[in-house]
Amino acid sequence: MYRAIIVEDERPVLELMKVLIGRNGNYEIVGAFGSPLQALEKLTELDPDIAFIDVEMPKMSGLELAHRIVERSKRTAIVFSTAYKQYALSAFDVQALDYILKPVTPAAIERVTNRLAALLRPEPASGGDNDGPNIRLLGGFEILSARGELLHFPTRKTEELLAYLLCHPEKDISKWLLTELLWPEKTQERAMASLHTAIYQLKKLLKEQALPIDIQRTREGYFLSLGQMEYDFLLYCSRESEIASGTMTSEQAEALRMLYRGPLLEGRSYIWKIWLEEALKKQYADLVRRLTDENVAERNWQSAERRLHAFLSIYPLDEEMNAGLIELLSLRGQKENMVRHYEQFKRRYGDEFGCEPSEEFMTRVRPCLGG
Amino acid sequence: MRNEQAFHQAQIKPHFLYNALSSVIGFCYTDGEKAAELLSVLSQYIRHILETDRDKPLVPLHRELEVIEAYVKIEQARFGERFDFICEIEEEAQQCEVPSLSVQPFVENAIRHGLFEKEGLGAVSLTARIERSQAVIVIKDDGVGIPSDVLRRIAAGERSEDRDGGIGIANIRKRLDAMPGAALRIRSEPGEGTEVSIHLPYER
Repeated sequence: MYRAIIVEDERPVLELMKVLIGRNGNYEIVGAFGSPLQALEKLTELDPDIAFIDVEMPKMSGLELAHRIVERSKRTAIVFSTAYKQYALSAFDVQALDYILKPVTPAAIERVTNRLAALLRPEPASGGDNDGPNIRLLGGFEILSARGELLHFPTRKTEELLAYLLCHPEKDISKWLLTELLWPEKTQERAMASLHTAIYQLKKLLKEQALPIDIQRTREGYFLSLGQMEYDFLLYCSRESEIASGTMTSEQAEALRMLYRGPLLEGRSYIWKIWLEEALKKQYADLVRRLTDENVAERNWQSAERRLHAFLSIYPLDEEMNAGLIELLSLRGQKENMVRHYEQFKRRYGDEFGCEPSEEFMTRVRPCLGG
Repeated sequence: MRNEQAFHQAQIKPHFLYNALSSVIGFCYTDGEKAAELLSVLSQYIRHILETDRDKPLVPLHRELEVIEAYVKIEQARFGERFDFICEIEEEAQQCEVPSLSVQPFVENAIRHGLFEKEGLGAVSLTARIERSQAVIVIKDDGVGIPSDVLRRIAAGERSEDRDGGIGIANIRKRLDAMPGAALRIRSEPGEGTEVSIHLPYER
């Protein structure tokens, strides 16, 4: 959670910022101020990671406030909000993380979050070697160059384009499909031009960052060739049948399970990812189920619990896994913990969906609670 | 034809719209009724701007007042209790013909430049009365005032740079100059306020 302060002199807009930033889920709003002076007073005490500042405030302008903040607290990232596009384009002589245009949208906050995450990320701890290129699609979308630097895309579309290709690697993808996908609102001609530009930008980026993957032009479209490159999504796909039939070893299953850091392309609102996301979630669930069943058979309670908690930290409202955890706690004789977890789950489920958990869930947990 | 379009576009201030919409969206979460009310007022404002009849450069004062009221309502929603708007229009003056959007920009300036920069509560007043054969419209504010060099430039009729691309004061002055018997006077005292008075010929 990033600690955020908001400085905005118009009350309704301040409320709007609180709502949108709050709903993003990555922030703890530690201060919301209607005047720059109020914000400065509390600044050192609060020590925020990020400050959202309205540029167009009277008296001490937002820019001046930003200067003062940077003076006192170098690590606080600054994001300006403005109705003026011109403001945004001209050089802020403060190193701002980003600017957002009014009216502020959830998408803008998301973009800011991604930039902040990239800025604040400590040395990336990838599953394999730390140096060298790395691609992650599960629990975000991150590509590290050969030098271990995080890739920055010139536009959101180029990012989405690469994400799509990475989800359909070693395949001939029709350029018509790509234009429909990414620029449905444009005419064919314009969309095709945009596609060519985006591909050009991507190829350039991949080459600059010395990534061992390559985009090739085919007659009908484009082809992402991976060479020796492996990544989380790829491994899940290639092992799909093994997961389903249960033919892989426990070690392999565990390695694969650990790769699942979160939903596919988490944080990106790509329409096309939805069914892929579902499919991967199911595979992950299959892995967790298999491994925890093994653990229970061996009476290795701690391992089983750990794996279930890992799953639930990503999908807290999954009924099946919650039921599994409740059964596990019951088996271990941890009545109190079990009841607490059940109550908590019921409450959160009700808050989110406005109803009781399903009959299937209740059927599983009733014997545990009844005793 | 292109000039007309430019004129049209210049009157819709994107900055104002984006800010107004931001406020409305904010209110949607905290006060739905208010949000609805503001959207209503905003559409009235836009309608007025868009439907200004190119062929009728003069409009009755009461129509100009409608735009002004819509504008003020929106600004008050944004800035809450930061300013008072006092409007006193003589009955007879309501019918007086004024160049369209010649009064509203002054009210806007009073709020945006005068009061915006001021600390504490501010007041804008708009009065209109008939004096002999003239209609006198006065826009007064107790804001930060206009610096003397800017004032000089305005008096000289120089095109002031309105960064929002709106109708500059020079444009209003030009239109008033084209009306026989019309006059524009701007007085300002830095730190104390500004007073704009528009004199227009009036026939009973």
